[in-house]
Amino acid sequence: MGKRIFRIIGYLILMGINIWLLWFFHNFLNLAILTVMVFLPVFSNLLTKWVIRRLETDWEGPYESMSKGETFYMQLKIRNRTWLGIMNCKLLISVSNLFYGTVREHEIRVPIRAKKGQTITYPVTVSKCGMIEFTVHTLLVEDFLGFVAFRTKPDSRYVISVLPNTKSDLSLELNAYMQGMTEVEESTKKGTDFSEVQDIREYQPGDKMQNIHWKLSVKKDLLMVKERVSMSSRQLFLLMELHDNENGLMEEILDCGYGIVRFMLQHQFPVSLIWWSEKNQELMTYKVDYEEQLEEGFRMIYYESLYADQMLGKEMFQAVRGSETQFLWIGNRNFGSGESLLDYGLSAGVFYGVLS
Amino acid sequence: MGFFRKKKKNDEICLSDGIVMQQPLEMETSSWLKNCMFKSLLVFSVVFGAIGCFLSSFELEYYMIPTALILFCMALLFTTIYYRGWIMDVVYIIFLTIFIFLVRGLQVYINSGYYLVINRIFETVENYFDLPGMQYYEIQADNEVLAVSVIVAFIGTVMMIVANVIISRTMNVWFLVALTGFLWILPMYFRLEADAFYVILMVTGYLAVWSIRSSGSYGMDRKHRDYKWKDKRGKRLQIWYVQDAATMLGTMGVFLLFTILIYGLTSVVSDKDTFNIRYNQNPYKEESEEAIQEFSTRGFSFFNRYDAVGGISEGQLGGVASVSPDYQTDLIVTFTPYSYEPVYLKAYTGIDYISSESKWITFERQADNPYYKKMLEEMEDPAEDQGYSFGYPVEAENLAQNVFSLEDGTDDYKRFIGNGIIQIENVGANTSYAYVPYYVPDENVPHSADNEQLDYGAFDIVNKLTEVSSKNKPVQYEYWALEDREFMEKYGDSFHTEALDTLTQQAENNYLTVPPECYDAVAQASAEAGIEEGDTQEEIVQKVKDYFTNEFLYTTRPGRTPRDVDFVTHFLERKRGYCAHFATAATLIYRYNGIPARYIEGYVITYEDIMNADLRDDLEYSDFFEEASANQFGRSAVVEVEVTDARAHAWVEVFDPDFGWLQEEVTTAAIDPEEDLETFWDVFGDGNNAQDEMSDNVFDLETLDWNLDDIRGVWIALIVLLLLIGLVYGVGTGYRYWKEYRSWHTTDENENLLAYYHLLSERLRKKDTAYAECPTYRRQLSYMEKHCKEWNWDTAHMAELLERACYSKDGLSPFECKCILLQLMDIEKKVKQWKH
Repeated sequence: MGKRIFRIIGYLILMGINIWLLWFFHNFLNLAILTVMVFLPVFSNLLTKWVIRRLETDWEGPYESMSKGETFYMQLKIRNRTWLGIMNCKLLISVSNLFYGTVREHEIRVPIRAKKGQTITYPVTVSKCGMIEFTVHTLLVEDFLGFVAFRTKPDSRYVISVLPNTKSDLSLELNAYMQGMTEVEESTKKGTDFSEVQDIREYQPGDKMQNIHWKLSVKKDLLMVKERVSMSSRQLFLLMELHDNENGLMEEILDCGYGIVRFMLQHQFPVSLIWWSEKNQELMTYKVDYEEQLEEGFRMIYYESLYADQMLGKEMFQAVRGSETQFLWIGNRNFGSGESLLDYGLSAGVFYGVLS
Repeated sequence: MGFFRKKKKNDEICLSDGIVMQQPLEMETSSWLKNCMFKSLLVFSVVFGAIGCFLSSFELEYYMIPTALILFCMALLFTTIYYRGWIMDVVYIIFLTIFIFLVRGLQVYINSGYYLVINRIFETVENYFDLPGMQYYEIQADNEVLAVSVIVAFIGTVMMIVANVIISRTMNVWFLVALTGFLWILPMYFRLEADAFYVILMVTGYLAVWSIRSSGSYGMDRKHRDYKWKDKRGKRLQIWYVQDAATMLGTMGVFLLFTILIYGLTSVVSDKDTFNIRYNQNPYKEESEEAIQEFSTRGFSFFNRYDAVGGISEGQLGGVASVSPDYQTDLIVTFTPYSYEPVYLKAYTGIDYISSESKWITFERQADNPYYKKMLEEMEDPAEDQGYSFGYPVEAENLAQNVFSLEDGTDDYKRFIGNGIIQIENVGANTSYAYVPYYVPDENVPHSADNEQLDYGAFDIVNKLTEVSSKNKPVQYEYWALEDREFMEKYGDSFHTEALDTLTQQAENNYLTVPPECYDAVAQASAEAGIEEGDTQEEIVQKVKDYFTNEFLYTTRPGRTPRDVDFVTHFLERKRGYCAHFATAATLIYRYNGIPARYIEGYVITYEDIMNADLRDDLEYSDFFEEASANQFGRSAVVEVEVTDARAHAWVEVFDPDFGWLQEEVTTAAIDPEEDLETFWDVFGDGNNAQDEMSDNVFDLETLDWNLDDIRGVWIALIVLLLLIGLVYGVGTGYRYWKEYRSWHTTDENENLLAYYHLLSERLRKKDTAYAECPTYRRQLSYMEKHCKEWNWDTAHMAELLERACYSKDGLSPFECKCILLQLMDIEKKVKQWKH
């Protein structure tokens, strides 16, 4: 704002000098310059106003979830449908991690070319999991003389989920635990199925081929699938404590949880992700049978908010499921009790057993 | 301390917590080369537009397309090499070398081009101010259009270099206007109109520069990146593109179209062709025109030391490097022409030549002269008084008596002499003097314009004449005109008055002194002139004239007389000078040979002036010249001559015992052929006589003239320069301190602390280079502790806190920062007690 005022003052001084020259010399050149100087600000403002109404912003990014530490590209496209370029277009962009609730705003000043617009490509690397949101909340264009700034609120946004990394040696440490999972193991072997059909419904994309009820599908001329309910009593409950501290505990919990679930899925062990939802004030359970569900589960977690209590999730699980239910608890190592399965990172640990 | 700080990784920019942008960020901007090309276009449009305005206003023809191509190539070269490190240095050196060779090779064209431009300006000035007698340079080049093109290319190239620096660094339209403004403002003064093409080009350039600067994206990046960024703790991350030729070009195109449109509309609404004609002169411009007029006629002689007031120098000889008349009218003389010979109007009489001061002093001002005191006693006799200073009563009386005696016996007098009235009005000459023709009877002086005789007592006639002169009123003199010595030779014997005896005695007592400083030089000149013992006065006079005519050259730029060298001696050695040199030397040579002589200054009206004079039909011939006298023009007419200061002149009066004081012209008519050799490059030298100075003085330290009066212009320039340097230094220092102050007065306490420590470290490093070898806070503080006479702080704790402030994510609390800052301030005070 201050700069713009200075510019206006400078322009007025220049105009004043020109008026003085015109008065002194009475030359046509000064008259022409003066006329240009008088009309130019009006012309400039009108043109800029005209252009800014025709600017559109849009984000483009990867469709799939990205992994932590992986570099991906975010493209911000500003389309300009006019034949007039803009030299001074400022975009206020905020980049936030919805899971952690962190946000930072930055401004980027770019040229907007006539007819073409502008495409800005951000090579982004994320070191913390969560839902990463890119938002253009203000587009600000100064007129050609830099006197007036026009702004719009395009509010275009793009959200991408970033999944945790897994440790390669996690499987070794889980082998001992795996040996006790006999029933589960049996239930996942080929040809055996310990589940019961609870309902039959129309096919939805993503449904397994083995669940299609072929006979009924032929009769109805419509793909029908069987909805199964596992009859196994030994479900693997993976309780993740959505608690953060300054040492980056949450990242370790997520990495550990993600690694364990992936390992289980690789060995075709279904897992139920459990967490305490501070927003909904309830214990959330999400059964993961395959990788796509794992991503979806984590996305659901990312929309939760973190809480301060180190063991809130564990306590709530016990309260809801009873103290006899076995589960894996991933939380602050210092607060862990029961059989320690593994340490993960600096602070997190995985504990197994019935909690006392 | 800066290099001990945590270095930011250049390849990552933090967008948010845990989210970084890997570089490079990609955006659509033009390549570096395209940006350079656009900038060269911008430089070209401003400079070429301004130059074109100048040339088209003065209607100077040149080869536009080749010149424009050369200038554009130059602009492209300079914008391309800018910020290219050593390449820029090398190219500049190569360019400078080539430039010098081209200057040498094309010197004739450069000089001619410069002369053509100057001549055209002179011509414009002459027409605008209606100035007579402007002098023009001779053009050496055959192809004048080519000469103008060459000078435009050279000057334009230099301007391109400067404009490129302005545009690349600051994109500041004010600087550009300052650089190029005179090119389009100067013609406006003379109501000249530039071509629309150049005006539009220039205005578009200015507007584009303004707009680009407003956008903030104009800087050149040494690494040729597309964008820059600034990420300060606690502040919003800023990323901005460096520049984009495509958008800038588009904007420039918009401005171009707009300017064309508005210029065209303005032309239609306000008729361009008649706009300047419908002109109401404002009073301030009228006032300024006098100053501009003088400046225009003096050209680039900023340090001209010639006192041109009234055209006469009042006997001042030294300290004048050149003569540059302003061509203002000093006298308006109304009379009837009677001869082809010049008419002399006497004003100043130099009696004694003072070598040490290089000047002639008048008789009246010799307060200590015993003869002066005696004369004061004799001044009760008006005839004697006037004889010494202003009128020529003795000579006039002689002439009158002779005419009357001849009237009965012969008609010869009609061929030589006449009795007439001359009216002189002082409009711009020095008002300390009267301007009196040859020869005026005592009873005649002076009359007012309405022919009413003024009753002045003879005793104070000096004052009376001065009063009349300063009143700016026309004064009439009756005069007796003497044609030449031929008349005297024929009828000289018949001349005699009683006063002549007294006059002879006075002349022999007062007008034979030759100062010892120049005695030898005068004696040698006398010998060189071939004057021998036994030569008559007429022979001596003629030999001196011949000597000057054959051996000497006239120049208005003789150069200054070196310090401690006699003015006359220097002139007689160099044999070049203007009228004052000739008159002074001749006076002394005559005196050396026993002829009473004196130095005279005044004005001369030439035949050319008479031919260019205005006829006064309203005045009767008979009222201005004796009816009976048949002058050389026959019964002509009354004319009114405007005598400019260019007609100021110096000559000699020699005393003839039979007649009295006779006027003698001794200045040679031989013009120095080097008179016009002032070149374009001399403009940048000392005044306009660089060549003269070079020849004698410049490399001879012993003879350099260090007279303060002579170089007062240089002194003033030096003082102004020093003041400017002081001002720039003061502003620069103030700005530096302000920046330093601002650096540790931000909202971030940690940043403030580190910035202050950085400043302290810088100061210590300057004091002791060994300090620079301490890489860490701990070692730096230990070093301080070791070298300070008094140390009251916990070094380890302070170092720890500083490390936290610098490296820790959270930094220090504001209170801790404040404490450490205060301690550092104390430490800074101890710096004065630094032990080496």
